[in-house]
Amino acid sequence: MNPNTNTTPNKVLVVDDVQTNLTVFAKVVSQIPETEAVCFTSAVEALKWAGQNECVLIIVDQSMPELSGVEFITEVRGHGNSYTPIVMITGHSEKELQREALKRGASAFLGKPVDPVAFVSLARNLIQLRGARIETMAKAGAAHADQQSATEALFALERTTLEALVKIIDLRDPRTGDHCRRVALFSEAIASKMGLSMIEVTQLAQAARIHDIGKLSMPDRILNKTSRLLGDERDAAKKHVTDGTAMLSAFTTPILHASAEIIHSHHERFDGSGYPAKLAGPAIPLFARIVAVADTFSALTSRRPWREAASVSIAVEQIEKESGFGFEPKIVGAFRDVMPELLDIRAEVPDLVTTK
Amino acid sequence: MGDTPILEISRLEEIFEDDSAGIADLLEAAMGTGATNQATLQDALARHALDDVMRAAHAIKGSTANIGGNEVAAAAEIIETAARAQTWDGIAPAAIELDQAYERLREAVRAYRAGIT
Repeated sequence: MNPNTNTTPNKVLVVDDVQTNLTVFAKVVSQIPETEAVCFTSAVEALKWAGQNECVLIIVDQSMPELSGVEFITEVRGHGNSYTPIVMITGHSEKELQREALKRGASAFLGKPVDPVAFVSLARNLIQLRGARIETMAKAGAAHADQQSATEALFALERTTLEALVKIIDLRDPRTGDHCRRVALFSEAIASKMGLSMIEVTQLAQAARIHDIGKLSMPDRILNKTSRLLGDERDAAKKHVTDGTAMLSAFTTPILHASAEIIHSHHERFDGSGYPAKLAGPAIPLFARIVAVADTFSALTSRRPWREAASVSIAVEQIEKESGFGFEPKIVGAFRDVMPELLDIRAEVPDLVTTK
Repeated sequence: MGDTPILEISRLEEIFEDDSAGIADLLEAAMGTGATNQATLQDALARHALDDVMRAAHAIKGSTANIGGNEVAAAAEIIETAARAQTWDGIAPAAIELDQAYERLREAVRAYRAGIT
């Protein structure tokens, strides 16, 4: 509470079963600036009040008929009040009792009779400490909220960017757009089967949607060529992995960063004979290894102007043949296991050229 | 009880400042509570119930120490300490001393009241 703006006195809860003790404490509390005592001879009533009201300090006796001071403190702390200081004032002087009270959440221990000057000084310090703790907690909460909203804004921006890139691919070449969609869904199914975490599966499914974005830089004569690519054309087509990587190199957000890895490495082969870096085995990022299988399945089962689409069984056979060479065996196994799901996806996102 | 003052009023004056009437009311109330506590202690002593003796003595010690009734508080502490140690040693003489100290405290309170009127 800010004493400059709040005219309501801060409450100090005093609990002692002896009325004359309460009278003395109320008087002592009145010497603490901007406070007033709320006194209870019943610990149970005091507990009820503490559950419904805010106070800056609690003073409690140990020996009371309904609840001991230690039990009272335990109840107060047990109900989530962790920052209101509690001073136990009692005639008891046993170390064991003091330790127990401190363990249960007492902030300080004073013996009767209380020296009023010492008590007022202690109370003021504890009340100030409470204020500082609340302020620190509020600042930490605000900083956390700021950070959270900045992170959310960044993720929202990443989603928007990804959608824009998907749209650009669709507009430049709808066939590549559909292929990317299928590959993303195939990859998601395979990754789920492999037991990747939900976060990883979701990231992969999003990131793979633009795995062929590098084709945007392909000349029309190559992108739209109706016959098989030859020689230099092949080399030019292969450039889509490095061009795509360059397009996304500035992005550091999780999905677009994962996209960059997939784009760069989805034509690597498990045995190290792929391109562009001839990476092998686990040196190829996992997402790219998964996309490689999904990409090949989508490509083989799609019609090209220079060839018919392979049947599913032939495509599966070719991919299995490449297990351990082009593809990681574990991924090929998962691919085979989710085949019914992959066929459903094919039906939902058919190849435009095939259906024409 | 030697040099222990029967009623150390300076402590209450420090707390209540110039409010002598407030002090007088407090002392009067304390004497009322004291009579009840004394009866509770007598009853516990008669029943030879050490735990109840300890609790009654503790209550007397706390309430009288707070108003500056040091002699009574000191006698009560002797009883409480012995009872807590589960021994009757020293309790009987301390109980007699406590009754006498209470009488002197009542006298002192009456005198204080008379002094402020």
